Amino acid sequence: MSTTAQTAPPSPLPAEHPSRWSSGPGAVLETRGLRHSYGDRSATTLALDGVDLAIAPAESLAIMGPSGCGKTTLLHILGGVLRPTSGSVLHLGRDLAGRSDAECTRLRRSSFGFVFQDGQLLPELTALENVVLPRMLGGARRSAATADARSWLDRLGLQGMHDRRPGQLSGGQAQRVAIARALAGRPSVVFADEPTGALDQSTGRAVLDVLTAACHDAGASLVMVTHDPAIAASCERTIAMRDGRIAQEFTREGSELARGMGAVREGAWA
Amino acid sequence: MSAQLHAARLMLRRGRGIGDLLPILAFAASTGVLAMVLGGLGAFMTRAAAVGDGGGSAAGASGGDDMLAFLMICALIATALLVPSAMSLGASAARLSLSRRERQLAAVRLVGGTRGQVGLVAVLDVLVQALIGSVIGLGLHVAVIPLLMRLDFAIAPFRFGELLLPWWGYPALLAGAALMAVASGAFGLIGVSISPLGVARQSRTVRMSILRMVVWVVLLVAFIVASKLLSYIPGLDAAVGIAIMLTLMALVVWSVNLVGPFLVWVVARMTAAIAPTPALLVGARRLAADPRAGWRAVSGIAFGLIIAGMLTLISSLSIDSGDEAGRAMGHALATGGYLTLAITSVLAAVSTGVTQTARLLEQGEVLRAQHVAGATVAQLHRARFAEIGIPLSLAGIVAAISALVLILPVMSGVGDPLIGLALYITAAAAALGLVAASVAVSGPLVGRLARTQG
Repeated sequence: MSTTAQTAPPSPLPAEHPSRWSSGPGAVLETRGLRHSYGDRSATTLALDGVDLAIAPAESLAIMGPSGCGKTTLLHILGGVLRPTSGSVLHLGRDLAGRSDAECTRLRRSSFGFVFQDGQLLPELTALENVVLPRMLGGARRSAATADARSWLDRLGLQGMHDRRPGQLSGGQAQRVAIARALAGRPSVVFADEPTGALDQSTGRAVLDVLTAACHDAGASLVMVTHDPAIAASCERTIAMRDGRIAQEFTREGSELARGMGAVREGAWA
Repeated sequence: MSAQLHAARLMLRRGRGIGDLLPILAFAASTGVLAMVLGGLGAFMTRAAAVGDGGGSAAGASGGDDMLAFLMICALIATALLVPSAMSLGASAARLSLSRRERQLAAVRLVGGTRGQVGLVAVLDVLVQALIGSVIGLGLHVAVIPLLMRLDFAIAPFRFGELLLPWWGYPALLAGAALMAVASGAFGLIGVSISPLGVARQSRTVRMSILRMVVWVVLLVAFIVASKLLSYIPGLDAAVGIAIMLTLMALVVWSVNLVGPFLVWVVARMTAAIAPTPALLVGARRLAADPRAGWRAVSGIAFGLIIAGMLTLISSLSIDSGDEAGRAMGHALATGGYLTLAITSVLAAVSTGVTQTARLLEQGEVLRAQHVAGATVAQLHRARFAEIGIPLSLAGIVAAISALVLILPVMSGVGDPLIGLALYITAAAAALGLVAASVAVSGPLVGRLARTQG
C-alpha cells in the first residue's frame, strides 16, 4: 500500500484509508501494508490486516483494543521482535525486513527501549545494575554506564535505592527502574506493553506520568499498548484496533482523526 | 480422588519435552549409580568375608587379606561419598520436575484445585517420574555389569552375580528412590506459592558466615597435626589411631560442602562488584543470590575429585614402591580412583544439566525480556557459563587442597607423586570439561525460551 506524505494539519479521511494521514517522511517508525498471521496453512489466525502507521519523533502513541485485536503483535513487529508476514516496517527510513536477527537484536539494544507489564527486572541484580546491564550489553564500559544509570535513577526519584534488589522495591519503584533501564540507552523509541497493568490505580498513574515525562524529556517516541482509555489519554495520539486493523484514531483532546473499516464505538474495547 | 484431581491429572499429563525427559534421565542416573556403587561394595564385602572364612583363593594370586581389607575400606569411603551425590541428584530431579509444571499447577489452581490438592498432584507427578527413571536406572546398572567385570583391582575379576544386589535390594532401592522423590518434591514446594495467577518463590538476601571457612581450615590443620603426632602418643592403640584419622578424614571431606557455598558467595560478590562484562555480572550476581544452589551443582564433582585425587596419588606412590604387592595395590587404587572420578563426573554432569535446565525454565520470562531488550542469545549463554564456571573453578581448588592434605600422611613415603599428579590433573580437567559440556547441552533451550513469543 502506498503512503502519502502529510505535512498539513490532520483531517479525517475516508473510511477506506485509515491512518493514512499520519505517514510522513520524518517518521521515526513507519509501517506499510503490515499483515501478520499465526499458525500454519491448516489453521491461520490473521493478527494484523494491512496496518499503515507512522510515528513522529518524540511523539507518544497509545495502541488500544480488545484482546486479540493485534495490538501486542503490532508492538512486537514495530520493536523488531517479530517479523511481519508481509508489508514493511521502516525505522528512520530503513526497512527492518532487510536486517538479520542479530541486527534486529542490536537495533533493539541501541535504538529501542522496552517497559514490560511486570518490569521483568533481573531479580538477582541491584536496581543500578539492572539499568547498567543493557548499556554493557551494547559494549559500553561499566564505569560510564554506571554514571548514566545513577543519573537516570535519581531523575526518576529513586535516590538511595540504587543498591536494592527488585524484591526490595515496591511495584511502582520497580517499574521506575524498568523505565530508567529503557531510557538509559537513549533510545529513539520506547515500547511499553501495559506498563501499569500490574499496579494499583494511583501508583499506575504516577508511573505513567514518569514514563511520559521521561520520554518527552529524552526526546524519545513512546508507543504504549493499553486497554485502559484513561491510560491512553496520557498519550498525544491513540489508535484503536479491531480485527487486526486500525479502526479509529484520536488526539489526546478527544477529537477523532480518522475512522476506518470496522470502526468501534467509543469504549467498546474497554 | 475428586473430579478436580482427575482434571489436574489430565492437565499434567500433557506435553513431552526436554523438561519431562530430564527428570527421568536424572532419576535413572541417580538410581543406576546407587545400584552400581552398592553392588560393587557388596562384591568387595563378599570377597573379604570369603577370605575371612578361609576362601583365600577369591582374593586372587597377587591379593592378600590386608590388601582386600584395604580395598574394602576404600570402597566403603567412596560409597559413603557417592551415595549423597546420587541422592542429591535425585533431589535436583524432583525440583526440575516441579519447575516444569508450574504453569500447569497454577492452571489447576485456577480451575478450583486447592493448595493441598495441587501439592499432592505435584508430588505424585514427581513420584511417577522417579519410578520410571529408577526402573530405567536399574536396567542400566545390570547392563553395565559386564564392563565392571573387566576392571582390574589386582584380585580375581568379579563375577556377574557378585556385582548384582541381593534380590531384596532392588525393591528396596525403588522404594528408597520413591521416598526420596516424594520428600524432595514436598520440600521443594516449601517457599513456593502456587496461586491461580502463577507461581511465586520466596526470595531473601543470603548471608554466609565466615565460620564455614574457619571450620574447614581448623579441620585441615587438625588432620595434619593428628597425622604427625598420633604415632608419638605412647600407648595409643593402632586401631584407635586409625579410627581418629578416618573420622578426621570424613570431617574434612564433609566440610567441603560447608566451605564451598561460602567461597562461592564471597568470590561471586567480589566478581559482581568489578565484573567488566555483562555475562560475568549476571552470572556472579545469580551465584551471590543463591550460593548454595551454585555449589550444589558442583559439589558432587568436588567429592569425586577429592577421592580420586587421594586414590591416584597414593597409587602412584605404591606403584613406585618397588615391591610387587605395592604395585598391585597401586593399580587397584588407581582403578578405584578413576572409577570414582568417572562415576562422579557422570553424576555431576547430569546434575549440572538438570539444575541448569530447571533454572532456565524458572527464568524463561526474564530470558525472553532480556532478549527483547537487546541481549543476544550468545550473551545469555555466556552468563550461564559464568554462573557454572565460578563454582567449578572453586570446586577444583578446594578439592585439590583437600586431597593434598589428606594424602600428607603417606607423602613422606617412597615414590614420585608427579606422574600420579599429572594423570590426576588430566582426568580432573576431563571431568570438569564434561560438567561444562553439560551446560552446553541445555543451550538450545536458552534460544528457544528467549525467542518464544509471550
